[in-house]
Amino acid sequence: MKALLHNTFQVGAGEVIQLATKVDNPPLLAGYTTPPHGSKWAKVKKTNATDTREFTCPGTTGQQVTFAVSCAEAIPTGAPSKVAVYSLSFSSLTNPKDSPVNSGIAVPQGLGPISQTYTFIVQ
Amino acid sequence: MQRSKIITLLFGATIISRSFCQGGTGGAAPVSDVAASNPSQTDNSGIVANLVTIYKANESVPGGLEIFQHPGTYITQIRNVAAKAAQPAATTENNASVAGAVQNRTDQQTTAPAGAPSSTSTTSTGSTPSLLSFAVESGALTQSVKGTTTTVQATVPNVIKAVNGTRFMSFYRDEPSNFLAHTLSTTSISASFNTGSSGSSTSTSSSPSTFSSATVHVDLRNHRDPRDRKWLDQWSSLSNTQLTAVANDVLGYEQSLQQQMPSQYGQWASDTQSTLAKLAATKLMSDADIQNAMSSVLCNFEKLLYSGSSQNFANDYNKALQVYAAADAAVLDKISTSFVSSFEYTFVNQASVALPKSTTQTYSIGTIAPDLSTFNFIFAGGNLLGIKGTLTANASATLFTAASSQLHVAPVRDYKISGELDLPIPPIAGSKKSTIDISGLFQDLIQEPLGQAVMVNGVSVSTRGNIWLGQGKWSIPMGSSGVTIPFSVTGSNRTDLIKETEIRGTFGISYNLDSLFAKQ
Repeated sequence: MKALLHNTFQVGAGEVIQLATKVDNPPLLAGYTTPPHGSKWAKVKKTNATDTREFTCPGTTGQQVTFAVSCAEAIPTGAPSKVAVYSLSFSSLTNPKDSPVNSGIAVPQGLGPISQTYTFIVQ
Repeated sequence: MQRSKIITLLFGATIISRSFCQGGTGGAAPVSDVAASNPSQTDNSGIVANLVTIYKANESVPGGLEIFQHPGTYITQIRNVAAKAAQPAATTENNASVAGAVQNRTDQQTTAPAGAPSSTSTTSTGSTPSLLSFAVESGALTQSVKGTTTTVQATVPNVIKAVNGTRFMSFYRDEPSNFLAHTLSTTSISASFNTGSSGSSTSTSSSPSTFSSATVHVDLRNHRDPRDRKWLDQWSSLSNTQLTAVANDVLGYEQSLQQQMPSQYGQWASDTQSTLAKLAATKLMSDADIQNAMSSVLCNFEKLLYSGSSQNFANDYNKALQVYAAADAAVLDKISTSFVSSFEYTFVNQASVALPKSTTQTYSIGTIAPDLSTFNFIFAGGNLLGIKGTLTANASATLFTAASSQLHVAPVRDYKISGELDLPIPPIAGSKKSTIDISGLFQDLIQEPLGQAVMVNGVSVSTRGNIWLGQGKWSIPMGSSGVTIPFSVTGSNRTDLIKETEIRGTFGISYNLDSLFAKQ
């Protein structure tokens, strides 16, 4: 897995990618395009502040996986931080030596949901 | 040059007319002429302000600014501003959320509890703030000043965490696994001091002089924090359904633009990228720089991707946002009206109180009033039996403690049961929402008050015996001027407690139409 520009990644055929999401200001309120275009989610695990899931990239060069992640917040009045910061970490389970790629979405109180789109192109 | 074209958008039942480019691409001038003609129509400065806030929040987040390359970001903020403008004014003041979300914990009490001296509360509320505004800046205590009484308040673990500099949220996540921390997190302590001079409600310079009272408040049951694990399933369900629909439809929206309007989309993406790159390269970037860049991108978004029939591409996404907002508000409403029970102990120091002349006691001049201990159980809940409203009830007993040997008093001064039901009334004939408050009190004043006065409906009571008082109040807001017409009915077995202007037997009725005519 190699990060290109604008949330686009270059991946190998059949590569398994893990997406780990965590929020610093729980609860975690994140929606993921389901199913992701070109694949499906697997091994989804959730807690109050984390979400972990995997998907497998297509086996044909030129095909791609695309999905959006929409994040919101439920920050109570009086909390010291008025922003919920979501950290998204993409890592290749097929090629664990590849460095994980980090992305993020900060959702100020009352201004969500905020979405990012991610694309993985098989090359 | 200002553009004259006004675009009509449809958000649910609210029609919004606006142009995002009015004021030019370098500014964010409000569409005042449009807004003035219809209160539900908001100006583009609100949208730009939201975008500036989002930009600043994402500036230091890895890849965070990529969100500005997505048309969905602009649609969301257009809708957020429109939804906020469509809310009744009273609701908007209290809610930060676009969804009309009830994120305020309405049960929090930061002034002196009902049993404390100088308190203006007749019924204590269900919980105390789990987070205190850190003594007052550094993080240990909250301080409020009312009249001549200064109250400082703290919850134990938050003070410890504040002193340690640990982020509150990380503590909250970890806290349920620690029984002691969890128990302490439901406990707050407060102390009040007589300062002898008035201060502002946010004063930090007041120097407390005389210890007046202390209160320990324990939440026996309280799940009114959105982060409470009790609501994990609710949030998870919201993520898996309505928020997933948002993610599905925002992707669908952006792919529609790419497929149906490839050249315009490409142009907009390229322009946006260029604008953001210039902004990022700006030395000593100011809020005005961010505002100008966001205004420019928003205007360009309208020109290339959001005019005429191209708005229809956003219909499904708008509906998904609307459904999500409603579901989010429902969860928050459930949380904010969940049942709360608490116990409160208040100690009142009367060491400096000279006893007044008594009709039942004989004592020498200079005899010190006995201290007071009040034990109070508090219950609060909402939407009971399907009725949308909030019920708060208190049951308390006040005891004399450390009484002088010259005083011949039984330990119990009084028993009291009080309750208040707040019922929201939907708008009638175009008026705003109003609230009917129904409250009742029964108090058995066994002993003559010695020192701190017993207050009922704002009247000092010193005669022993039973007291009952019931009150109904309906304040009707008129138009958008802030004028309200109050109606109240009070009944009591002691007519001196009835403050209404017209009294019939044990009932008083008041209505005040002066305020209506005063501003017209």
